[in-house]
Amino acid sequence: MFNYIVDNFGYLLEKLREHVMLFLFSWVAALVVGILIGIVATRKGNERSGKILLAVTGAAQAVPSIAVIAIAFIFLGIGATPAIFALFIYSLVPITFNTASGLMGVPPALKQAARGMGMTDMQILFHIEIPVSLRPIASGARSAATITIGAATIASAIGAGGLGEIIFIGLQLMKTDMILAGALFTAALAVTVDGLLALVERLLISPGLAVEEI
Amino acid sequence: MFEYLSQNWTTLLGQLGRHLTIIGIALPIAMAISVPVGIAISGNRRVARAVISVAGVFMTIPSLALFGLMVILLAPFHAGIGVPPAVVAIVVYSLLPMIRNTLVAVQAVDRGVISAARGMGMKNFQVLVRIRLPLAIPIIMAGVRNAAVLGVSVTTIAYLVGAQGLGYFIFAGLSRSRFDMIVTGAVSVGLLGIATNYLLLLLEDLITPRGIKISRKQ
Amino acid sequence: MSIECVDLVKKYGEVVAVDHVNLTFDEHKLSILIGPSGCGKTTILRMLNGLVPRTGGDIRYDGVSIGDMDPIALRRSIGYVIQEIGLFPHMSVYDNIATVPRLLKWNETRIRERIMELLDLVNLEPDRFMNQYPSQVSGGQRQRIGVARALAADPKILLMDEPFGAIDPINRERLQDSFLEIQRHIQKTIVFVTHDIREAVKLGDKIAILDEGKLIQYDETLTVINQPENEFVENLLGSDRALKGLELLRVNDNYDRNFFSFPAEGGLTVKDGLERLRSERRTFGFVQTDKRRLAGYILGKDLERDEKRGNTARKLDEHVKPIESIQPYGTLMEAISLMVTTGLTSVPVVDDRQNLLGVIRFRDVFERIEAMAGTGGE
Repeated sequence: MFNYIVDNFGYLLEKLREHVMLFLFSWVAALVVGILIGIVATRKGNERSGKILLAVTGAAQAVPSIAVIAIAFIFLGIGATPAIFALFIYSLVPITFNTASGLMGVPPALKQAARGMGMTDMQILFHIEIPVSLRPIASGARSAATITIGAATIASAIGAGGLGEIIFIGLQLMKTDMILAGALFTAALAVTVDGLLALVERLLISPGLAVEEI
Repeated sequence: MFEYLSQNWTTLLGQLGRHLTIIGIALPIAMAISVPVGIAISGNRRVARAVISVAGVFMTIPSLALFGLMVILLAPFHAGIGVPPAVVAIVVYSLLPMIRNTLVAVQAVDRGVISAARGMGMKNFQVLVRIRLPLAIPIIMAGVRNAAVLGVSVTTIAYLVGAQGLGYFIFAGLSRSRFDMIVTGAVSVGLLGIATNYLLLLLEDLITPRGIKISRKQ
Repeated sequence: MSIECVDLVKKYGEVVAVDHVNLTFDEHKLSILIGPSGCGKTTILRMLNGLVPRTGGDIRYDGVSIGDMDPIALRRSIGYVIQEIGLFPHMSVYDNIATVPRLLKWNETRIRERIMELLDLVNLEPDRFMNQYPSQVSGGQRQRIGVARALAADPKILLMDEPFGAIDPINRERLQDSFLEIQRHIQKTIVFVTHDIREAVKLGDKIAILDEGKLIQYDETLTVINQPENEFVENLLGSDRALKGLELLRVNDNYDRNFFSFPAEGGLTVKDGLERLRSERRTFGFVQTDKRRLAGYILGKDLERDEKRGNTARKLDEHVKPIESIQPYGTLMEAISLMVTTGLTSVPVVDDRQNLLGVIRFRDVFERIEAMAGTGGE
């Protein structure tokens, strides 16, 4: 296997780059849009839409990524751009869900105290609501990253470019070293990104919110 | 598209059956591993955290990559293709949710409640059956539900390693550029995922003791 | 700054939560809003800082209508404490308290000084607590921090909505006592909502009683206790309301500085004792050391018994009995309590060195109660 890696390093790197692009474009876009939607859906007066949003995204999380990718490929053709769009939709779901439910979970007493002290609605959003719900938002973003890389792998197996292509071809040709190289690179990418995000999570979240896990 | 559906109705059902079978084999195996492990590590915080971290790492690995590894690892046993790698992959992905939920379920039962029960003269076995289990089962069920939904997704991909299942419609459809097949596949797995989640949610609700449901509302 | 509620009304659809209430909260005084659930007390409080918009009537701050004010600016100038406190869990104690000053753009040095001052005021060691997080401190401490946070920008007005409601009874007493101390120092205009009549009596200068949105009675605490407007108020005060008033009155204003006492030294005999008692027409006398310290008391009856047996030459010392005393800042309630415990109708009043100052008698207390019921307090 190491021979394969050495011989085809350029190819591997190129696929890695493609994979990272697939992941970054879709995930970052989903973060921005998802958090925005989550915020809007939880504003005063939008309670009904908020509940509907939660129900829809809750159920939609059970849809396998391949389904979303396949539909995107039907309507938009095969390639990196349709894949990015599909991945965007796919990771939008958990991010929006976690943002909305996190914001809904902010104790009303906090918002009331803040209002009573004279904070404007914007100030309450940025200084109270978001920091307090940072934990669910961050964990949603992190798990979205993991499943997006996974979905990107599948997308790349069917023509979007990326590391999945290597695994896929390797499987078809029954070439063990290809499979291994592809699998290891993909796994390494996923674990690294997750580790980085875990670090960011720990740095971002106020020590005051630390809850003992397990 | 509906033409395709009416003509290939039996194929659809057949693949659905295989899809469900794979999940049906994997889940009990996953439970058989996770629940005892969860109970075993519940005593030691550090071990628990370590095990959860490892299971977490497994979960980060993309399914296709895991399949790739499975194929290679299981090849010597002639089990590298078809159902076995799919089952193994589902088991691996289920470890995190199931072990974590078992842990929570074990630790969730208040010490006070156990003391009260023992104080009333319940023997250990009775404590287990009358108190621990009814309280723990809903939580464990949640883990199973999580795993099942994952299973639907993983099994769909498993088609690529020869496991059959609903992935057939998607991947075969892609290679033949037959939109009606692809849509059938995509819609059926999407619906299967949602339905699995929903039905197991209902089941979870059914087996949750009423008192817990009421206290949760508070 | 005084607050005036003029014909205040709040309706939720058809339901009238606040029904034409007219109230003035005096400057520097602690006014209580009390009543059963749903009486409108919290609604009124929330209308004072504009969290709940009013349906009718007006609220005036030193004459200026609330409608002419910017609600955000108003809220930043009023301290607000709610029952759950609402300390921001993601901020340190320091940052929590600094919230309003920062909104008002104070400079950080000034803020830091102020926070040290405030933590001191609420009896929390600044160095210890400044950098803690709300999850790390106890419930009672959180309440104090909440009060400090409300006082941070030195508002003239404090609005408090059952701030001590979620605390256990023992800590609640302590918090109330601390709060009374704080109020002595800071003298703010405070509007305080509670459903606990004991708390109301203990803390309030004036009490406003509400029922179903209407104001039933608004008066000084003692007046409300002694002249309840109607049966509803009587029930609210409880069957022991007369006694509640006694908790507010101090021995200081009510004792007799004339008393009779025997010197502890001097070797007086029973005969001497009886002579003196009879000439003063008293049934007992205190015993004082030559330094004026209280040493006990002597009952005339005991002396008479000796007289009957012809032991008049016996030393007076032998009949000295120990006695419980009370200090001037003690309440009449405590005085009565002592009387019940000792079985005596008089209690000696002493200073903190046990020097005898005077005596308080049951009839003094009783006369006081009668006076209050008649003239309605001072």
